[in-house]
Amino acid sequence: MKNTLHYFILLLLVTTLAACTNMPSAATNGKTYGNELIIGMESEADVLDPHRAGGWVTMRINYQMFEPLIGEDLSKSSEEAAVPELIPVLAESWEVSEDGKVYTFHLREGVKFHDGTPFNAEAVDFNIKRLTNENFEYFDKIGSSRTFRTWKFFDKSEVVDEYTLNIHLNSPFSEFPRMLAQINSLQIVSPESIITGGNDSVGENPVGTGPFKFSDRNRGENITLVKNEDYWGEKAKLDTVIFRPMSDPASRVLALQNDEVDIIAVPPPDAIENLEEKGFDILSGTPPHVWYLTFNFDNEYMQDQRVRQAINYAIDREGIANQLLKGTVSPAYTIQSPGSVNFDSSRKWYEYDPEKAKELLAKADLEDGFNIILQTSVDGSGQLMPVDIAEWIQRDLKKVGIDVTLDTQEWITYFSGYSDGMDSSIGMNQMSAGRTSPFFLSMVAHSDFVAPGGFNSGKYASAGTDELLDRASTAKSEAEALEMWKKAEEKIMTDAAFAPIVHDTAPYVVNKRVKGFVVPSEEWYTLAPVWIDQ
Amino acid sequence: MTRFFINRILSTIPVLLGVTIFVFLLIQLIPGDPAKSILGGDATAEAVESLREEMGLNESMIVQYTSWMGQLLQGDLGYSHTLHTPITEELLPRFLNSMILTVASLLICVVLGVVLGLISALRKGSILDKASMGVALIGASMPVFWIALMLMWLFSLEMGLFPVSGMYNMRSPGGWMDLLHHLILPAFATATVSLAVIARLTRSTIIDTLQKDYVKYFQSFGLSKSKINIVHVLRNSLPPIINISGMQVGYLMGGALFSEVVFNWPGIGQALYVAVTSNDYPTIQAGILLIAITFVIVNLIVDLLNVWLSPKLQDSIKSNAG
Repeated sequence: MKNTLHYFILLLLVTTLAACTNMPSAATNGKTYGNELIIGMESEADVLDPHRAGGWVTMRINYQMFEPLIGEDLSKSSEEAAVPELIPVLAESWEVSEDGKVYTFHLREGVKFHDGTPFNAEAVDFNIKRLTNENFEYFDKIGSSRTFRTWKFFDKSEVVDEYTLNIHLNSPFSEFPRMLAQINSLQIVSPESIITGGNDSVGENPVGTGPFKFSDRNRGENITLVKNEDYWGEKAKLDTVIFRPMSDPASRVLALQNDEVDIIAVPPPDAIENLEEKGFDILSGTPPHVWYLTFNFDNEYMQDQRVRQAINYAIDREGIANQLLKGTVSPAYTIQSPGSVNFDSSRKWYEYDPEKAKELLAKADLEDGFNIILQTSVDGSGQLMPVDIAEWIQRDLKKVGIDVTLDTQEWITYFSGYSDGMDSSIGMNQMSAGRTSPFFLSMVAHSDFVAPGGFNSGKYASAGTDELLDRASTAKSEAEALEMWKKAEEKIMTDAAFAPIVHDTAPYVVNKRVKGFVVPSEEWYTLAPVWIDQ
Repeated sequence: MTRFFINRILSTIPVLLGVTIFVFLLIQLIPGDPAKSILGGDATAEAVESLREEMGLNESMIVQYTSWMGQLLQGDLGYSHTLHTPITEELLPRFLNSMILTVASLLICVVLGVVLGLISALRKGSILDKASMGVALIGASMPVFWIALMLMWLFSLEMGLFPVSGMYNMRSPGGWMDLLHHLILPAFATATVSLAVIARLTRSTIIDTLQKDYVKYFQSFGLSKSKINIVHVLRNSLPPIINISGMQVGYLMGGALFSEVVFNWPGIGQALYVAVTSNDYPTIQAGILLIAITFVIVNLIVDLLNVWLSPKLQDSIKSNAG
């Protein structure tokens, strides 16, 4: 019996070992690398339909396949270009009429969709109708709802000839070109693919004009794009790009170290130093992102401007950025997100000054302090470490006598309730958002977008602010628009409608083999110039 | 006997029916409006309302339930709200991936668990016994995701033996050997806790059985020790071991969800998580239903297996029927 047992154990060991040695070697062992790039994403992407897609994760994929008329130059890092420059993409040039209401686009000739069908003014018109014309056979309710900001002042489109198209607006809209360059806007999808497969098919069969085309998708495993050999511009250097959803931050880091992915997004702040020592590149930028508190104007304490200002003064943003989040974010002193023309990092509203906060509270007869509720999600897209940040804020506010109770919810519940606004018992909530267009100020602070139903969750409404925002949106010249945006920002910050906390710097950890990857001042990036150093 | 089997199989029908009702009601508890999450945070109220109408969300719950059941009975799981693809296409491959992981870990924990338990019981009090039971105790106390990370660190980063993510090598996908290579760590991580449970139960059951009079009786006849141990002791200790192994299937499926996250195994757990986060009701319903059905089937198999293996139980069924 004893012998049988021993034989059995030995057999087990030997077979296990044999199995191990017979296995294909792990990627680390003297592997040669093909011309492919593997990216570990922080979550699963949603629909690969550029009009319908919801999250930034998806937009980073769609951006490689679909192109707009006017785009942003994402080949430059944030340091080279704080605001991504607008560049012609599918439109070779464009001009705007004297009254600012008619945009004429001269389209690029000789461009073909990935399915071989030609790109022309009719194709653009088809896409516009898909998003704006409810009577159009291929009108898409979801795409229309997701892209509505682009169409705020839209009147009609008009095909002039095969390569010329006019878009008529019912009011001048200075940010229209920038809005066209955003994702969830007018990316051009092959009309033929929609006619053949229907509106719902775009997500499974995305056909655009970009430098990469869709190859295959296995949910939970990979989304694979391949080089578009017939691209109209400079062709991509990579043959294949694989996006892998990897929701657990620790295993993203392990997969990077084990050479199973080449780039990871959103590394845990604690891991960054170690990864840098191990020879990985840490790249970051200044994308349009701001993590901010929204004060609830239905709450009795928060209606007092001095209280809102006091809270702004009481928060140690440098501490949050450098100690808590280890420099993966920068302190935010304005609600305007980086990457937009009116963002000025040297202009700092409400630098840390707890004494001043106490003075302001005393003036408001609240020197004895008060209790208030802060709502936050526990996770979510772009939210960084919301509970840790909220706890830091709780400690800071305690120092000036304000007792904060945290009310935490998981992301879906939180986000779906966000645009419903807050109950009057709630003092403030938090969100993270941003745009390279200063129009972002309207999104968060205009009374048109007040909750319920809008992104202005605190119900801040000021006639003065509205007027400045409207004048900025409808200004005819860029200079005039810029001046108005700045005034609006000044007004919103003086009113202290929000307490901006930090800007994400969107760190990516990149294997040194990967060359040409750049983090621009945008929430997404281009992979066209990236190559693998063999 | 046949009647017993048929009855036992028929008795799963009300259970499954109950599951469908429960799943359907559970979905109603998920916060958020699916129409709103499809259209995005800025959707107008009219757009949300018209989409709700289109999706049939404004119908009464009874109407929604019966139409869902009608589809189910025709083998149609419906279309995903968010992906607009047939759920069967999305969920079945993911479900199979989860099953690969669950079955692999079941094999590991049953085979190793029984072997370890048997050795410990036969060498009761020896160093081997103490060592394996000590390991079992530690194993049973470790959370799956922690074991997973430790395995990844030791066997992948330090020793370079195994990959840490996915089912296939993305750079040069291989066949089933590649799959096996990717399967070993997550399967072990998932199996550890159950392995410990099975090992300990096997040990105590066999020690119990060894005390039985008939074992002593056989020994007095001079039957060889290994024959008694394998043919009689193990055979008579099987029912509790099979029972606990069957129960572990549920635990393993739960544990597999953790392994799926840490090892990026494209299983049904991740699919369900994504479905829940996007309020994709039909997919959530289908996913939970698939898991519940698996559960019911496993329990059924365990019951039938026990009866088939145990003459005692067969006798009592016969006399009851008689």
